[in-house]
Amino acid sequence: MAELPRFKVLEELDHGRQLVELLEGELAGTTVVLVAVSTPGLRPLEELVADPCGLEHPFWLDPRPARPTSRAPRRRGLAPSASAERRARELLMALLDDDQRESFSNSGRFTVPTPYGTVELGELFNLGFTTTLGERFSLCVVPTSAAELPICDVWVNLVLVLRAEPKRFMEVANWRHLASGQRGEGPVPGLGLSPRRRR
Amino acid sequence: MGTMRILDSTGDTVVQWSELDDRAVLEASRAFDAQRKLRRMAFARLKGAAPTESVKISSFDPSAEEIIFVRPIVGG
Repeated sequence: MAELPRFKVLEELDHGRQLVELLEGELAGTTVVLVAVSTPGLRPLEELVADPCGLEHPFWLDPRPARPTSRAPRRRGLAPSASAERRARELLMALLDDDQRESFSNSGRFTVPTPYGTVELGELFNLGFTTTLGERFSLCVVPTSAAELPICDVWVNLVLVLRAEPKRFMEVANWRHLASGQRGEGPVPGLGLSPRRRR
Repeated sequence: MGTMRILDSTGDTVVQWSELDDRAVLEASRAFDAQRKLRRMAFARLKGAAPTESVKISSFDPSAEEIIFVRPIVGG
């Protein structure tokens, strides 16, 4: 299997992300936003990009050329601009209650109560979840094509679904039980939810 | 004035309408249907509701104060 290619860090981004340039492999010269950095991956890069939630150390791909040419076409998946991030943050703050807004301003995280327990939003691919019985999980739920969205839009997306459709959220979530290390695909166990039928 | 926000790479794209403007309502309704065809989910805040109170809707409601379209969610 291919390993994650060597890369050069171009810029430290917010939320612990890094903008890096891949230095080898088929995608050499491409800039990538690393969401988490650890040991080299054990799966082909293209597979990792297509399935970020299945990763222990996931990342987003930003297919912007590291050395853009004047005729380079605009592509989907371009990293959101600073103005997009600001706009998304304003929308998120408008949707939060006072406690959530203060928490997000101070720590970049906030909690959302649901009938199943409390979900903490703030770390992509690693959403804290404490059930009403006190069991603690790490959940992975993302909007489709999340890489296109400013990070605050991701939280807008997730908080709206959590408020209106918490059952659906728990049904699709990939989970890891923190005490036992056991992990699996949705639904989150112990909530009385039936497995969703696969299409 | 109603506002529809469609989350995208710019933050969001806004569509606005007035209930008194039939053409604007029709255009907003068409924009709503186009997003639904993309399997996007719509959450509406009705007039007078707090920003934290939104309900999922499946058809355009011109009386809504704000409609936000979000992406379907998936696990890994």
